[in-house]
Amino acid sequence: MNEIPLLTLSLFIPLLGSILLLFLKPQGHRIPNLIAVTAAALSAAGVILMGLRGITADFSQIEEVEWIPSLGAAYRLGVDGISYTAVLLTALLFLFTGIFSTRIRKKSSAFMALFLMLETACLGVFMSLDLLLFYVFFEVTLVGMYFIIAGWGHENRKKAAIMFFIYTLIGSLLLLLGLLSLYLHSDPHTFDMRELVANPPLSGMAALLTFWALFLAFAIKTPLFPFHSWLPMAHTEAPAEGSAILAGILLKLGAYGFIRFAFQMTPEAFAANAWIVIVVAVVSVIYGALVAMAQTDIKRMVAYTSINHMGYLVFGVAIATLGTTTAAERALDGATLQMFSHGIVTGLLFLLIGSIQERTTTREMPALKGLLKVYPLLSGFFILAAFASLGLPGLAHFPAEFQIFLGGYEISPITVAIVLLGLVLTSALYLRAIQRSFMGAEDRTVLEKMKDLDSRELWTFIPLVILIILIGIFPDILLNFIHETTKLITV
Amino acid sequence: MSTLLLLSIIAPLFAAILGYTFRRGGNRMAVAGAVISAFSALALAIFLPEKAMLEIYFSGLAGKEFLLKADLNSAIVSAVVGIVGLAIFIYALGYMYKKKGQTWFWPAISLFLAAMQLLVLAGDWFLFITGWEIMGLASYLLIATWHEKEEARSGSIKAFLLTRFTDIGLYAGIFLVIISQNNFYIPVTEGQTIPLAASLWLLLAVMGKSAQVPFQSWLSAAMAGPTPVSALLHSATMVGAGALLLIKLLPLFSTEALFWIAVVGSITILLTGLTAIFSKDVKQMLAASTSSQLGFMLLAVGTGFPGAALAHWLAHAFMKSSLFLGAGIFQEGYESTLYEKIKGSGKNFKAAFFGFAIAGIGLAGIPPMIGYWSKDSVLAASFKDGNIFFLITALTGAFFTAIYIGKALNRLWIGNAEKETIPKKSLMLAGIALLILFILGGGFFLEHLVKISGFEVPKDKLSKILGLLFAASGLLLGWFFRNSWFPAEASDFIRKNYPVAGGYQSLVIAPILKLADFTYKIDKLILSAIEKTGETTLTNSKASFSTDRLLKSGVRSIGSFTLFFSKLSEKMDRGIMKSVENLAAAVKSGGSTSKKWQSGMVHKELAISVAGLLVLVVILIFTITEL
Repeated sequence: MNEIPLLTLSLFIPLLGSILLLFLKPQGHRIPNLIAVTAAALSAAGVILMGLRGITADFSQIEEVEWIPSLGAAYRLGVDGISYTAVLLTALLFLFTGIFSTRIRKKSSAFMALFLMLETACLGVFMSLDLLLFYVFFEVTLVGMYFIIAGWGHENRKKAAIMFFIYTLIGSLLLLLGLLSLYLHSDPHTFDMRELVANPPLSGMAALLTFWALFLAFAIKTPLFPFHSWLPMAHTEAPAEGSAILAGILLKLGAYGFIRFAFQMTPEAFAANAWIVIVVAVVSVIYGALVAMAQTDIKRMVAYTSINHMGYLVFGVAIATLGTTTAAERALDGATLQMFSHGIVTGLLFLLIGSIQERTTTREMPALKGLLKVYPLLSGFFILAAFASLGLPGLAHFPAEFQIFLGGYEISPITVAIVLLGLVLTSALYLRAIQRSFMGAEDRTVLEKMKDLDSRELWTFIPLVILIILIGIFPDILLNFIHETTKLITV
Repeated sequence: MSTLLLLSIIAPLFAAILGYTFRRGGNRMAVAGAVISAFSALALAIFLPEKAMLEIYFSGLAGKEFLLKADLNSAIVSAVVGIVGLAIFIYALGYMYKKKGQTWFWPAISLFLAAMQLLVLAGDWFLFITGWEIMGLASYLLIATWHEKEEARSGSIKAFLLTRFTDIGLYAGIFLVIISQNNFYIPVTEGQTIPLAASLWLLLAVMGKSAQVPFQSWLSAAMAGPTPVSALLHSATMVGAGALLLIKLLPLFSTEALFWIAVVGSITILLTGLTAIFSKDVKQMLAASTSSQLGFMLLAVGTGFPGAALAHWLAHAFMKSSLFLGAGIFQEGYESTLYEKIKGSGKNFKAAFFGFAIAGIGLAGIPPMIGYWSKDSVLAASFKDGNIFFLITALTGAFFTAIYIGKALNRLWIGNAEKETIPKKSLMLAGIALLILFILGGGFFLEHLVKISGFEVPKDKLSKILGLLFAASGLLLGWFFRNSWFPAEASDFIRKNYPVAGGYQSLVIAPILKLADFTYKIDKLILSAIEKTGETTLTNSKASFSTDRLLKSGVRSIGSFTLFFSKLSEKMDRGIMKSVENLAAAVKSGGSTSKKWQSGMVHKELAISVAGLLVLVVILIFTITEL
């Protein structure tokens, strides 16, 4: 089995599906749905097989083909504990979101083609071991997401598109500069990320500048305060599927970048500036929670909580540059797990909001009332996901945040105390949302459809709910291999 | 044995999951879960040899497995939790009969029980926090059972948020313990003490969970839930978790930390004792009394006698739950818990009244009820400590307890109430009867149980005599007590839990919401600044380029990207080449599809152009470095 190029297969099966759809141009929605779900399922199966083959501390399951040897660029794929976590998240979330998106009737085949292309791009970002390949995939994710928002979004697309455009432009340029600097300073010139990780090529001023370029690029992507304005905007206008992928996967591009590039390739510059990053992360935690609390649109509220959660994550990565070995391992374990947890929890929340939006005429919480009475299952899932998001033990976020805080506490108890306040704030805002919109007597004037979840929705939500509980109780499923890698890279 | 341990946690958990999934028959599943849990825990307590330790490792964080652990101490506590839980579940079968919200209530209360069992049997800090917090979630859900009512909604939020806030202390304290002891597991061996900061952080968490001053008000707000919930919340679970944490950790506290624990306990005993005396409502009285009794446990821990605290913990669990269950029967009959409305109702519901009286007199500390033994040991603890302030507090607290119990008995018995009947009363009484059995008989085993748990029970002659004296005179005084003896403002202030400066709502909630709105304003400012920049950029780019041409060249350039490289390198693998071309084709057709939809949108096309441009830039730079 070891000879089968599972990475390449999992990576390009969705793209194959996409191409199939583009050439066949099937009418209606049945065939596109079938192709999309099958491709996503096959890709997920491949990714799971990769996991069964064994994830090692260092990069493994390498698939390498020469591409432009004169430049030192090649088609290189491989995974370690950190990237496999992200790959697994991508494959699973795309599969379940794909099932959810079989509801789409408007240009179904175009949507699914884009959706599958986006999956390949996202998987590619996490699997790439080559800067050039990484950058190409990174750019394609932006284009794909852009079209999904623009084509299937809600009323106010223009503004969202402008925001998305500006940030995309700035972020990509900075990333490009950072990557080129890494390339140009390596000796001999190489795009091989393994080389760059093993021997970080930069030092002094060059390292500093490169670090800040990378930091800004990923801070926009993650996003951190004050580079976050595109996020709530894009979420407000994106369709539920787009939001789930945007929050679930695309934000992880930034998070992954912080670990793989800033942390691993410019370690000294990161450590020297860790306190600035910590302050930005802590501000994001509190700021995201406070702004989320002021929202009345339930989707915008969840969007802002992402800033809060990503703040914890980046806090963990920054701590890992400073800490003693145990603290660094803990914080980085937590940060990596947080990628996965936030992906499934926030993905589920956005899909649930999509289901709510299908049934109601508004997303405004003061107008939505008593959803629990009318949709007990939908509301039950939402409450569970909300509690997962506010960090309830037994659910996915807690093992991640517990380790981030524990690692951080060793370095700086005071910042952890401030960050813990973020937990209280997110608790407050979710409880308020549940109280306003789910509890109490229902207001039927805003409800269009009275039926609770149908089978398509159940097929989407139940696996995600199970995953959330599973990770909460058995975090070792992922932590076992995450920890091997963090042990290796925090020495 | 391991199965027994697992069953006592998992049985109610499964009842909760199945109950919510199938949405019917939740009551039967919940009771079955509680029965299994109670009997497993009981069997564990009976069969586990003294000084033996049962350990189950599973899953875990990297390199640190989770641990479920039972020694005789935790098995006994777990058995009491199971029995009290079971009695309350049986009562609830009658209480919830034909009431709304059952599909919600039964799974939540089962989850609650499972969480408490987990907390008791947790062997590491991670699982301990898990039990602690899930209990918070379950109590939130339970208080909100009848969420049509505004006070149920606000009460549930208050309960969760207040305890969640103080949980900052739990996290910080536990982090400090783990780091300073370098031990992920709950330490059982005595040895080095933990830093004072860790103790104080943990004390904050206990103050929230165990409703100590100034965090006592969530308990009375929690009354909006069904009576069985209050009974469970106030006895063997939720509030009890705080005291249990202190008992577990006692060997680790420094004398300074112990002093502060005792101080918090003392203040709570006095202030909430007074609140209970001035209450006009039997359930509010019981709520305040809970804080006060938990204060006794803190005092006992603070004076260095965890055995006394544990004894009172066990005794209080039985007494307070049966008091609540009794009060629930009066409430059912008269649809109120105000003394005024239920005056003399005891004559109508005689069995319930006698149950209430036995539990109440027990709480006041009259033999042979279980409360006599436990109150006695707490008083002895405060006498042994030698600090005169703690001694006086303990005696005054005992006196206060007797007064509010005497007052309640008087209000329930004297007066003429109309005849009322309630359905399924027999089930409710059965639940109470089970608890009363333990209140009457448990006292004779209490000392033994505490001793085999590994704790000492303090004894003192003087405190015994004084305690009885104060209890008897307190009951008498309480029987004749009139609120009119005191100025109305003062008693109002005390009754409403000392609402300093507007209390929780205006001190905490309002400022946070204001801050949130302010932050949102800042956010909007940032947004509009960026939008302006963006619009200017767009206008400029429109002026300088023909967007149409850019779009085309942008999309084309992605295609030519691969061609360009293929020229550069001759060794290009064909398969890879193909896949890259496919990618380019996909982007290309993506571009042309987009044109079909809405070709009027400038910015969209621009975005593609930019993507294309970026690729061009890459190619350019590469060629430069090549040369």
